Amino acid sequence: MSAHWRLAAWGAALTISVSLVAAVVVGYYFDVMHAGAFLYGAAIGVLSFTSIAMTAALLGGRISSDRIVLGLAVYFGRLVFAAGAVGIPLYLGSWSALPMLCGFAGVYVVENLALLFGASKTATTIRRPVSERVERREGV
Amino acid sequence: MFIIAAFTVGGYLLDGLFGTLPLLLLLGLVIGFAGALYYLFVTLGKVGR
Repeated sequence: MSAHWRLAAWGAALTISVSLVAAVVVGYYFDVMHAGAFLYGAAIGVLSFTSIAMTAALLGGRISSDRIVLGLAVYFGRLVFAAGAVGIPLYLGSWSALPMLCGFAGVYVVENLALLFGASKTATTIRRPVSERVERREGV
Repeated sequence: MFIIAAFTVGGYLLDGLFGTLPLLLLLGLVIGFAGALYYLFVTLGKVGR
């Protein structure tokens, strides 16, 4: 598993853990329906965010017109998916809007924070062997 | 896009049948999106080889 996949998996695992704890708190202070709506919003957020990581990994490498078209299709597909998955229950009034939107937005906040700290750590780890290699060469 | 639409419409039709709107519609949307990503993953993997 490469460094960016490990980072994405770690971010997703952290987000799911935080969402579960937050859902228990919401369920305790409000009711099960609110907790369910929160978890649904968080699940949509995690799926949407995971698709960003996945497509970024897939579309990396040599650039071609096919890959650009695919990237654009996935980007707009994700927007349509998120709009539909959050908008349909809101339009039908199926469950509470606020916890669902909090769950959805909360995933983006937690994931961005996780990736921010994780990326700086990964960059340090990747850079270290190069400096070690330079030191070894100087020693020879 | 076709995979997402097919699963979503399928979910909507099943919702009409069982009276569970919007549960199966949303489930179809989520499964369709995950399926489309998987299809993309497999297709790009073959192209990359």
